[in-house]
Amino acid sequence: MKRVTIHAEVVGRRLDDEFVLVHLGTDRIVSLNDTGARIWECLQDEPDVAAVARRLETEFAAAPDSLLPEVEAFVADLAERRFVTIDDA
Amino acid sequence: MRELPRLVVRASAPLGPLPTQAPCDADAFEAWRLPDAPSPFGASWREDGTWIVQLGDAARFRFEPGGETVEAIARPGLTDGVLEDQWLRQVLPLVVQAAGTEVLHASAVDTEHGVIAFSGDAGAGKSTLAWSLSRLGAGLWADDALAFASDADEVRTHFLPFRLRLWPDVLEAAGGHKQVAADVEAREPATRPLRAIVFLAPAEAGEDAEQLTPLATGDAFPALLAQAWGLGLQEPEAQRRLVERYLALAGGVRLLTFRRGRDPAACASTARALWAQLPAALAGG
Repeated sequence: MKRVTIHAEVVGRRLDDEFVLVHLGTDRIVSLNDTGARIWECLQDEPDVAAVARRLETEFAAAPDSLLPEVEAFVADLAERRFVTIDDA
Repeated sequence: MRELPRLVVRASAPLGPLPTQAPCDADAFEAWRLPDAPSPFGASWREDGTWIVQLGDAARFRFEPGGETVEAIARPGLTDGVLEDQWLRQVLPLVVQAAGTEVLHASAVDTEHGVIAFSGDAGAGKSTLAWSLSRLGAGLWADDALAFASDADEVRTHFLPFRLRLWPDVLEAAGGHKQVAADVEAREPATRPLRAIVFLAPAEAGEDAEQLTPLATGDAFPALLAQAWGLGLQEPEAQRRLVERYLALAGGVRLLTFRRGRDPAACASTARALWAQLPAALAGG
C-alpha cells in the first residue's frame, strides 16, 4: 500500500479550474490542471493512493483499477519535485 | 486596516554609512539592491521587535508593527520634501505590510468597475498607464504600492497616500507637462473592491500589442508573488502567511495581461485602447 504525505512546507489553493501549489522550502510553484487538482484534493483527505484512485473511479464512473496508474504517476511526479513523500506500507 | 501611522521626525543627525551586515543584537537583516547595482541603496533589520529601515546615509526609520508612529532620523540638510518622498515610496508600504496588510508593487486607478491595478517590472509603464487613464476619467489610486486584503467574498484595496512620479520623456510626449499633480493624499472611500490586476510587458517584435487578454492563474501567480512588498520574508511563518494571502488575491480578482508598445509618445492612445477593452475583459471568463 502506498501512502502519501504532503510536505509540511507546501501551501496550496484552488483557483478556478487550477490548483496552485507552492513549496516554501524550495520556492517551486506547480499549477495543477483540473484532474490533478481533484487528485490533490482527495490526497488531502486520504493518503492511500489506491483509495484515492477508487474514489475517483467512482466519481468519474470509470472501470475498477483503471485510474490507479494515473494517480500513481501523478504522485510520483510530485514526489520527484519534493511536494510529497511516498511510503510503501 | 487600522489608521495609517504618522511619521515623526525625531532628529537631524549624521547616520554613518549603510550597514552591510546585521548590527549586534539584530536579526532579519536584508540589504536592498537594484539589479546590476554594485552596492546596496538601503537596508532593513530588526532589533527587539522594532524594524529599522535605512536609506543610504540619508534617513533611518524605526517602527513597531502596528504602532501609531514611525520615527525618522534625517541626515542634516535633507529637505522635508525628499524625506516625505522616501517615506511614501520606500517605507510606508513596508510599515503597512508589517502591520498585517499585504502590499503589491503596482499602480492602480479607481474606475466604475472597481480598482484596476497594473503590475510588472520596473519600467513596464505602470505609473504612465495609471496617469494616462486618469486623464480619461479614472481616479488615481496607487503608485507602486497597492495595499489589499481578502475575505471570503472579495478582495479590497486600501488607499495609501502617494506621490506620482513619471519619466521625463513621458511628460514631454504627453504635451510638454512639466509635472503631474504630485501628491495624492486621500481618496473617499478609502477602501474599494480590487477588480483586476493587469500585467504589463512590452510587446515583442511581431506580437500583437495593446490587447487585453486573460492570464491563467497558474502563470500569473509567480509574477504576482515576485511583486510583493515585505520585511523578514525569509522567515517561514512570514513566507507562509504571504503566500496564502497572495493565493487568495490571485483567486479573487481577474488576472489580465497587456502588451504595450514601446513609444512613450503613444501613452495616450495606449490608455485609450486599454480603456476601451476593459469592460469586456472584466465581463469575460
